[in-house]
Amino acid sequence: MLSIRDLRVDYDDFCAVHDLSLEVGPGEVCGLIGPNGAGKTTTMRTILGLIEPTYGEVKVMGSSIQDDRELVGRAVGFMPDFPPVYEDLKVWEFLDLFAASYRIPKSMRGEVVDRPPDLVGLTEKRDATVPGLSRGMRQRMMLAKTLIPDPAVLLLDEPASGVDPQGRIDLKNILKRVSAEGKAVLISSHILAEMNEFCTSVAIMERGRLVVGGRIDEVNRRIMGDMALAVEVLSDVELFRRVVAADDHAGPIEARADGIYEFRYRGDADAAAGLLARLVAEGVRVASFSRRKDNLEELFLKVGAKELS
Amino acid sequence: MLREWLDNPIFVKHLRSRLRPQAMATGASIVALICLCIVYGGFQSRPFDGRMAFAALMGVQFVVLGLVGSVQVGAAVGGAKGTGILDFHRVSPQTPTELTLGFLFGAPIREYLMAALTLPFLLLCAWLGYPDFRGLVQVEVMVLFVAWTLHALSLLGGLVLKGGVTGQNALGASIGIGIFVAGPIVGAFGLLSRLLDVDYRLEFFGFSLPWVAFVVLHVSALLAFVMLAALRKMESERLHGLTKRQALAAMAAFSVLAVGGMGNWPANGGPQLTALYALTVIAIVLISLTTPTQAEYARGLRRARKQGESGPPVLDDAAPNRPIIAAIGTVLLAAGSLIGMAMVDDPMMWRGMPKAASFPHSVAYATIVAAYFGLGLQYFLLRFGRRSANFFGLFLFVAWVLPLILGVVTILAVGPPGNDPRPPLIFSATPIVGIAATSDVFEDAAGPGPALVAFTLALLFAFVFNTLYIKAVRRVRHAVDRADAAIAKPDPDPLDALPAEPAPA
Repeated sequence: MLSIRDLRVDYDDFCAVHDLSLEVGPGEVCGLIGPNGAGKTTTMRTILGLIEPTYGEVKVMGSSIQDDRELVGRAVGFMPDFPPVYEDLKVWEFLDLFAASYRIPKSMRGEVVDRPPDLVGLTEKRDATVPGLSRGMRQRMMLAKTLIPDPAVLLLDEPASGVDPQGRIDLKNILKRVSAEGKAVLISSHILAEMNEFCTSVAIMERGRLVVGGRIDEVNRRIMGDMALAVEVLSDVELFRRVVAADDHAGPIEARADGIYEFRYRGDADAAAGLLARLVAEGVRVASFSRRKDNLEELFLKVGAKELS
Repeated sequence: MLREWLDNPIFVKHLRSRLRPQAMATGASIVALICLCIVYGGFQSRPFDGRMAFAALMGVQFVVLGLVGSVQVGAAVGGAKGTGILDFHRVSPQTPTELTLGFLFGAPIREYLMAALTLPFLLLCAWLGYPDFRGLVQVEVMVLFVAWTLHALSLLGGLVLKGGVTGQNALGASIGIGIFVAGPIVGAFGLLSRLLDVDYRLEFFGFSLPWVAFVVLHVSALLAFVMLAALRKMESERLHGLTKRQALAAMAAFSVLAVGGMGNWPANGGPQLTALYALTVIAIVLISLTTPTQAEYARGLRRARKQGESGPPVLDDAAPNRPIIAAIGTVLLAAGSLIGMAMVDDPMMWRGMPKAASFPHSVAYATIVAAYFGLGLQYFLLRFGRRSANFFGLFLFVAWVLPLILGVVTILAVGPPGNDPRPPLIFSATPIVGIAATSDVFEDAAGPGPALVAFTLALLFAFVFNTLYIKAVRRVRHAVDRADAAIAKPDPDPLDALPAEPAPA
């Protein structure tokens, strides 16, 4: 749905994005990760046609912005990190303005304008004027505006900044819903723990280059080289350590504060099952034995990003 | 059609925000009270002084619609651009034309209504005898076209200038305009009212036109090219206001208008010199609009090379400006020559008038000035990047403004130009005076010296900037080659640099 090929963007003598290629398919939520100045926002603004690329190709639903500006405009919803708004409008007027901008017929506009505020928890502020809204509420209003045309591709630049915990939960649910509806989402955020919960793929950028990209599990396997196992041991920790150390696939054990032991494991699922069987057979009391969920933060730090704000 | 237009989102947005009853009622009350006072003043003289009331009412209308309306348009667009919300409109399916018209007619909607409040009072004046309805319609047409042009210029300014204009700035500017500009404008309408006493007509290439048609013709040309630039800037901030082709078309259009209208004015040199100055300024503005920055040229080079070309096409936005300088300069030279053909020396006129025989020197000089301005601008932009504005500004100050200051200081020291040849020589160093000086306006005081000074400096600058231009273009090409060569080196895979995993225990 979103395809970027050999994209290069220059600012004066500074190359902001260098030969970036990226694909985001239907139902995919792709986390665009990188330190400040990595080129994430430039990439998003180039997709929108707001920045002219030096060269390269950006296609949305198979069309580039040069081919069909209106189609791309309808297909892409963009939400920046700091929402610009008209201070002299009421919330419903602001949403109505963008509903009209996306050529939604007047007869349907009332319904269309009311639906997104319901989703983002803005209904009771419908008649409030914009200056009376907090930053989080403005962010919700911008998200509502982004959802109005029902875009096939969502570009979200730090969508959760300034949003309260309930807003973040709402955002997470919305992202899961739009992903289930088959929309493509490209999202950048510095809150990697949250992205971990809804991203299906990742693209890590640094100094304008794509360092690594792909499905999270694949990238993890490529970067981390193995899986991380978490084992909750109730007794016989020494025995547990000995059994694990005897397994050629296991790395050094790290004890977490909550009594859970983690270690890297280079074997496949069968080998892991064999290790669990040996632990139980040796008499180690294992309360839980699980593959730890892939962690974007570790991945990001390992890949070499130097700065995370 | 009208229904679609009234559903223009930007227009509707302004209808909602600018016509809230309280603010609207306040503004409307102020305008209505001012109009009542003016009409009351008219009735104090016996018989009713229609001319005074008409000029004052038109002045109010023009200040409200033309000037305050322009401030509102600039504030609306500048604010939308400054906050970044304009980008949301740009990426929506709305066309740049819809956006531009939405701002152009929506932002001053309150001013349109307030200006409309003056109409009943103007009609009352017409009913009481002055002006006649035809005259009133003519003046209203002129006011509308001039107001639209000012709105379009303000809209373009809002799109081009950095930093948005806030509502408070707009309010402050409106009050300032109301206080300082209203008087002269009312005076101007007083003079304009004299045109209504006779069926005043003007010639265009020998065709006799009503004065309002002549004005509308000229204003429409300006409006058209300003709107063209506004549409392009509305479409994308990165686009130049005009393409090189459009700039050339604009230069040709304004030249045709200048040449076509010259028959209306005395041939004694004054109007011809004024037209030459105006065309030179237009040429300089158009060259500036089409001159690429260092970043744009470098981007154009990279894009061209990716496509197997050596550089951007000559008429591309990213191409250096020398070809367009040559084209615009040629039009300026041709138009200036045509304007000068009808000129004759008038022995009854003041001795400092331009001489018909020397006017071609002024035309040539003006062309050289426009050329070296363009070459200089291109050199500074290519050589100094973002710092170019400072350096080029310094050059313009030294070459164009400093001679004026030195000339004034010299006059204060030695007396008026007629008494001493030095002030004309110093003044002639700047093109601001040099265009006139090359028509021998200082011949009586200083002989051919001022013209020689002007030409020498202009040719020197043109030669120097042309040389520097060539070097700067080469420099950017080499810089792009070097940078791309450095980037093209195979980068070590960042994953290779990862620390090796410790061996399993």
